Amino acid sequence: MYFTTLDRALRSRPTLIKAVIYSVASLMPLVIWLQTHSDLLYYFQHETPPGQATYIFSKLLGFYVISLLWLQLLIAKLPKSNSHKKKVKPPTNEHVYIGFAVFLTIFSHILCFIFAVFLRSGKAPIQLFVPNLNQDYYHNSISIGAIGLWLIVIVMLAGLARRHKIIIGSVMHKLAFPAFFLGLIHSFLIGTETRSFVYFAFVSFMIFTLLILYLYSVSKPYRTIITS
Amino acid sequence: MLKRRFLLCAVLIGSAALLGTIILINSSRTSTVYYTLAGEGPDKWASAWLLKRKISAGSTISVVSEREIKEQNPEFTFDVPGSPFTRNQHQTTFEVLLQNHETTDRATKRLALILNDIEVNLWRANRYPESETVEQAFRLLQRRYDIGKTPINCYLGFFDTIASAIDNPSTTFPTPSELVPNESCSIVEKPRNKPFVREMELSEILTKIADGEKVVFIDSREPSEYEESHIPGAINLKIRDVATANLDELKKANLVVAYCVKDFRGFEMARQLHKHGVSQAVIAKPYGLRGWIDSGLPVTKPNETIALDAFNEIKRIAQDQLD
Repeated sequence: MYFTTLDRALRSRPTLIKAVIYSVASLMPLVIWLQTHSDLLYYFQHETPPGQATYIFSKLLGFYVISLLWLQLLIAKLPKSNSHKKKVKPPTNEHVYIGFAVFLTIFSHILCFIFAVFLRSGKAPIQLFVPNLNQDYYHNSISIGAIGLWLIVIVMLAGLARRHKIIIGSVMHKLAFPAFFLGLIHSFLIGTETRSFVYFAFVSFMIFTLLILYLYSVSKPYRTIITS
Repeated sequence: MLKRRFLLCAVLIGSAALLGTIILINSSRTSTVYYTLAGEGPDKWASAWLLKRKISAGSTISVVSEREIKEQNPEFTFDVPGSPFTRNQHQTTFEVLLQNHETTDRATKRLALILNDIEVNLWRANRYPESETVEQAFRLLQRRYDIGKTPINCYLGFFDTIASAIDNPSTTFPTPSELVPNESCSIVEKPRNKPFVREMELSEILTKIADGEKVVFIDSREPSEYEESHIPGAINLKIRDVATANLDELKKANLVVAYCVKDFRGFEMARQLHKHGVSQAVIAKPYGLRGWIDSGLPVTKPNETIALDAFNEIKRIAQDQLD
């Protein structure tokens, strides 16, 4: 019953709902980041240790990774006007573009961090790309993020396979969900701003909306019965 | 469809431009420091000119004491014993630097020959007509100021003039007095980008500890990281808690050293402490706990009941250094 109402709401105002989701996804990372770095001019007016501004920017990109992943998962679960009953659904352009943006942001986040460390210590820690959970707290936390990265690579490849109507691709593409949660864990473990109330509220909102839309999507057969 | 693709391209290009700009700004502010000892030879100051003007634009030249030079990475020292960039029997420091950083610049190459004439070819007649003029002009410049007090900017201006004179072979080579820059070179511009949070050498921090000053270490990492290992006696304080923490004790300390693994968070912590009135907050150099461990200093390990021993060990190391 509730999902039927939600279904009606989602279908009656799709543009408005998308506008709200896009606004939240694009603004929240900035708001959270600015909580700690409200005086950005500082980095332009004062001498800072090598790599500091790059590190700060890498954090912003990290927040955008989480936000874009949420946006992608949410948009994928929204009802589509051209929905059909094929097992392997073709991706929409929007889904492809956001997926590409997620991938680009993840790599920018990692490259910025590696570049910052390189500027600071003269060594580029490329070994961080290889997950190793048998280290100290800090490196284990980074490894969790690295696992998320490789899951996203699999998700992207699975997306391509799905495009070529390979069913296993469709299954593997769902690894985007664990990748999103690994990203969240990674951010909670080492992010300075991530224990703030605003971030906690944002994460709660993301999980809540995903859960609701997940339940909404699995309730589809029952909805059909109720509405028919 | 076309509009969407155009929008996507615009967003991607915009992001890449933003990323590039930030990285460039950061890189440009990452000033390399080259260390040397005080000295009066033309080779030293010509080498400083070469580093600043040709090899590493935007770098800084720092004249330090013999004790301090030993603490520096030899790769960033020049014209000092033990540096890979120092003179030998047949070459000046300038030529050694040039050997490692090839150039096609005619003036720089010619200057190398002139300097060799002045500094190495001591017992034979000069091979190049400009050598005597350059040497005379260099001494004239130094006579204008007390020994050891010629500003670096004046040395740089001096070699700029020589390089441009060599670049213009059509005109006659200037006289010694024409080569010496006017006195405005001694006016040092006030640096606009003064560091807000000071970076203090570990040796200086240890000296303060040995002198009995109250030095407090602030570990800005997460509690789980702090429990794994930390600088003995360090207090665990997260950046997000600074605004609500009682900082009265920190304000009374002579020095507050904020740190994390590589001081990315440590620097932000020091900034926050400054904002909240702890103006003596600094970060250490080499940076962070990594730099501390690499310098052979002790850390407190988990479940260590004799943390005090490690703190006493710091004091002992600090005292040894002072002796």
